[in-house]
Amino acid sequence: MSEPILHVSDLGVAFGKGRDLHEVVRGVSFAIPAGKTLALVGESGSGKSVTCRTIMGLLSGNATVTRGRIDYRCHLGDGKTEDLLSVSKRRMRQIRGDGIAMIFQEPMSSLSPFHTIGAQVSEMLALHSENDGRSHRDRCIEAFEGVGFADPARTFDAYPFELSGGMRQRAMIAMATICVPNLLIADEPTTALDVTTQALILDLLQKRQEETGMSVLLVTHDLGVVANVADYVTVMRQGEVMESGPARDLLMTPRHPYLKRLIAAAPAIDTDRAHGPAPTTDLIVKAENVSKTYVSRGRGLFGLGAENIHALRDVDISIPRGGTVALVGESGSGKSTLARVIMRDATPDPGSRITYDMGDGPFAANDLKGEALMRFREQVQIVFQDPYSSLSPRMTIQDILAEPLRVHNFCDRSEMRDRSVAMMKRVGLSPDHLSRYPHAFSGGQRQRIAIARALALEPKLLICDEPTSALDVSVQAQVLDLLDDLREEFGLSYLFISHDLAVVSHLADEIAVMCRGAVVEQAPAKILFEAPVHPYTKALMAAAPDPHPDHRLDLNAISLGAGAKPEAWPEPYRYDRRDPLPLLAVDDRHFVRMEA
Amino acid sequence: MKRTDPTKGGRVPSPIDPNEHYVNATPDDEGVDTGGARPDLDMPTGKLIRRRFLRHRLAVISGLFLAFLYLCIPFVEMIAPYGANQRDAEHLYAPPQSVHFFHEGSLVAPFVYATTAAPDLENFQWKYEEDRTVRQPIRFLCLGEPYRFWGLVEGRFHLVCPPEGGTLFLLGADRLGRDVFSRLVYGMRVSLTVGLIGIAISLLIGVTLGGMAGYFGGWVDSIVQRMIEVIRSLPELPIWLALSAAVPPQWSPVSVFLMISIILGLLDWPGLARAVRSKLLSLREEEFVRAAELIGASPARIIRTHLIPNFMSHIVVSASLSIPAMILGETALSFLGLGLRPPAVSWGVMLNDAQDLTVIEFYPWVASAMVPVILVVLAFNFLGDGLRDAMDPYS
Repeated sequence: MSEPILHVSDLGVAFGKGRDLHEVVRGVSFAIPAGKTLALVGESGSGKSVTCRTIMGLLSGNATVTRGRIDYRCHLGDGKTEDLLSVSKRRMRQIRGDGIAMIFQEPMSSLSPFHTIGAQVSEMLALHSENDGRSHRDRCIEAFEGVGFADPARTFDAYPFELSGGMRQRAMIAMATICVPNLLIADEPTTALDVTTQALILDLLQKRQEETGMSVLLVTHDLGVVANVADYVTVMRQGEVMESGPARDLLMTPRHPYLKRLIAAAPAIDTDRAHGPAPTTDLIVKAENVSKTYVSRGRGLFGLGAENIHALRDVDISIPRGGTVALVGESGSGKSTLARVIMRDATPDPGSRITYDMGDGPFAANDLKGEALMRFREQVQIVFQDPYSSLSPRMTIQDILAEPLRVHNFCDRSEMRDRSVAMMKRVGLSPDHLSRYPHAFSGGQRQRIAIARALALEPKLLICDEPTSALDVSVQAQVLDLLDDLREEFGLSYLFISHDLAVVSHLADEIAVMCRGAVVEQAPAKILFEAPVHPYTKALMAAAPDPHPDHRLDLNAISLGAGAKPEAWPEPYRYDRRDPLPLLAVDDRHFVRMEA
Repeated sequence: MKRTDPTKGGRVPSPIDPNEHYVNATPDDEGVDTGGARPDLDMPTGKLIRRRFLRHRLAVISGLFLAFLYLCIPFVEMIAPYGANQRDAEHLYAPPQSVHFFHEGSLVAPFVYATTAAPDLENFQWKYEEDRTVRQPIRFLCLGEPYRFWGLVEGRFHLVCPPEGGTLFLLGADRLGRDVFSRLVYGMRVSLTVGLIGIAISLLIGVTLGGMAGYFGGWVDSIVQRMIEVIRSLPELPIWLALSAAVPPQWSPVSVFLMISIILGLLDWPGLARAVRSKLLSLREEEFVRAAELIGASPARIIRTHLIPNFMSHIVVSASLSIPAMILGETALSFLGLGLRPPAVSWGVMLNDAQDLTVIEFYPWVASAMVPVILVVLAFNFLGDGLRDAMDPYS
């Protein structure tokens, strides 16, 4: 084995000082061989990002390195190794960008909105590169071409807001690699992206790596991503390395129970566990021809040039009583808008019909007023995505759980207490914690509290809007299991929203795949997973990374349906923005949006 | 996150060789879910804020200083050795007298030396000479200049009185022979309360209009925003001047004082309204507010139980940061002679006497009202700073 590029040995990093000193990285060691990819895997609080920032010399002021060394061998100059923890600031600035480059998680905020993409990438050249006779512009355009921009010259002059998240991440990669560093640190580079975009970005990273021969330190929480790109893996938990070694070894034969648990918890599409068709005659809600059009504010003085944005187009969906319907789609697909319309949080366009039947006769949701609307609010509840913003920091858990009961005069004071205790127990938390405040709880526990609050009024329909996407994988599995158990116990029906087919794969009876405000394919879960028809569905399925090292991403399938661009889909599925194709039945209860 | 002692042994660093399959001997925690939990933040917000505020030393000192001043306000008549407008024709522009504790080498009760005035015919001013032989002990807890406490009860009790037959001009005397220190103490009453009354008016308007704009949005928001923009675009000083010039000169000092606070409040609310509006707008986006809406809670209930507890603290901060502006406003107006007028005493009125450059040159103590103005404004700013840091204990 050649001498490693980066050599982290016994690194310790602590926050605070004196008695409050709190080590978040405790004796971490790893090495990255030249031209290879090492994945630093861990859940939140594992210290993986802090480790990265230490390597780059970007630790915040209240952090100190307590021990260890980081030996780095730059490919420029004399090729000697040097300890990054003791080099001068001036040398560190040289190394950053020249030798080590970094890509951040959030493509929306990592580019300056005030400068063109070209100017920002040229700056790298101006700071770090020798003049090789070609203009910066030419070299940038070449780099943009290399990261897959269709019109690189146009990209050079574009501002970040003109590009989508995936495109910005491509620009970041171009910026990071244009000076040909020998180490690229990618801190969760695809976490903020849609799955299909993630697949393409990962592919691009690998291509750039092959072209330049750089080493990559990839920080991620997703074992599926690891399986696809990593040569070596270091698994961290609470600042310590739990297990490390060659990727295939670790993923095929994990030895530490923690890694075993992580692999088991990684969501994967499991066709065998998917539900078959459920009976459909008894519907709790039936939505027909639901459209929602937002009028964007015009640019002109009097709002001239206002544009209609079709958030939803003619969606038909129905939820059987006691069943689970999943809405799956990437960001901007309209799935959350549909949920809002269904729970009467937003008004649909005229002509949309949403009919509920709670067991005592059908009624239209949009006609509800006063007392009837309050009854309705009792029966339809929601669990939000972000457990950190869904609980008021100023209320105790007891108050949070009792709030719905108070609003509805559901029961008297002593019963409120009893109910809260029972709900806490039911969602797996200790009733002793009722007097605590939300900050005392972890993300997963907060999500349990949010579920308890939603169930306090004994609703009939529970809408879950990406309830697990802000949680760690191992916690996600627990919350999904809890939701699965509660459905039967409380006789609930679910409308489950997710961007990830794998998350809903063993929960949903029926899945509707949405794209650009329209359902493109809808079928019972088992049928959808076994015989997907639409290229977009296939792309979503193919793009979900699997932690098994032999199941690589199928980039062909992904690129056929990726990017949520109906204009770019193959015939007979292609349509332009104006009129979507009809939803055709290809099989019993299996609908696909395609040309007749 | 678990805390461990890094000095304890038993931990083997993980290996360097990437090809070695290393397994840490630490057992699995079996999915104990701790990600994101902050047990240290598990307590009522008020407690968190207090704890954090106390760590901000400068803010605490400022807070104590201001608390001390405000506690003094009801008792100014007793604290000041002289009356606010008590004149001593023998001591025009008398310089500050220093308090002594040692007389001929021995420690004695605090005293001042007698001063004698002699005309200096070269410079046409009074020269004051200390007579080092005549010791005049200062009297404490004594009966002195009569006053009407709160303008109601007659009293003669003072904490400190000038010596029998002598003077006690701690900060000198002004043009009419009035004690500057006593006037500072009396002026404090007006100057510090003008901010409170002004801020109360400003809060009332600002929270109501800002709250409506933030919660209802739409055209209500537009109207409030336009009002704010118009008021903000008015040049501040001329408007103050115009409004205070409209106060009839025959009004009593108390009415003028109230009027001035109202004017200051009426012009200050836009800043507060904006702060309230933007805080409400961001809070409305929080999912716990949406959750309350979808539970069916009424707007009144949402505002009361979900919004107000979360933004009250921000209002306290905004208010504490606006008070100094009010104090400075009053000072500026009175300095220009358009705010309070004698015989009312405020720091601005006192500075009005110090407008003349020659006065400053020969009798700088006449401008000593500058010092409390600067100290109070700084203290409010430090206090507001500390509060602002403390009010968001979750960051």
